[in-house]
Amino acid sequence: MSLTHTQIIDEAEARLIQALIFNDIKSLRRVVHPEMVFTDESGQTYIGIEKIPYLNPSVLSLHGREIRSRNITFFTNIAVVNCVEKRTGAYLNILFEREFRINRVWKFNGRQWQLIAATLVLLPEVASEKQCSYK
Amino acid sequence: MNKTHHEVVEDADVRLTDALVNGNTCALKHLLHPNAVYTNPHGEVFSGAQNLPVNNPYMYRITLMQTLERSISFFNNVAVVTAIEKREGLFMDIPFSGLYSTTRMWKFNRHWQMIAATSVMI
Repeated sequence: MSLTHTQIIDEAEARLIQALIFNDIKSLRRVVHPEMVFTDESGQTYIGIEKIPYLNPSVLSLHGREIRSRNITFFTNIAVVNCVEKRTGAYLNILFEREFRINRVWKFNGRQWQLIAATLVLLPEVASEKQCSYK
Repeated sequence: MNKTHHEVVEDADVRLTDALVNGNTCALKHLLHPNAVYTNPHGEVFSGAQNLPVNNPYMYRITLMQTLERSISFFNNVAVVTAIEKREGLFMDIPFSGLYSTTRMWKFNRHWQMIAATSVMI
């Protein structure tokens, strides 16, 4: 049975996150456009997959993520994925656990969907979660 | 002389900035895709051009938007504009001012239209 565009994007997103968690650079290069534009939560922009420091596991190690909400909007050959993700991992060997609003833009290049842009916004810590983390 | 794609997108981006400051709804309607998705610096998402904060001037109004840096990447019919902007305005009648890193995605469909944008406070 043929997959819907939404299911294809879901699969591409799952492959991307698996590649990020397992630091699978080969898989990452398949789903990410070489000239992708990435803006991190501090507003720093990197153009080109080679320039993104967070793909270096000694800088960022992503241990897991939970999708809290996700919405996909299609513009013919473009899919804009907007989601809230809880991410856990280590940044410069310091453990973190935070929620991000993430915007990912996928483009169909005639053969497959590739990530062309992504932006992260750090969400404020929820008071109740903060209390839990102190326990 | 014909303009390059880079110049056309840059022009569209400048016109959008002007329209946001001037509240030019006619220009906004032309430049924004009806299903445009905007994520503000607080992580709130607005779907659909009609629901964007700029269409509610009583709540959110930009009085100054100065582009300090602009970079444009092309992916065939898609352009990704990243800009550092100085913004001033009013949110619920409370003045705000700050530097923002904004990513705007443009798609060509007879003319360039903005389909998505995200702003991050620097």
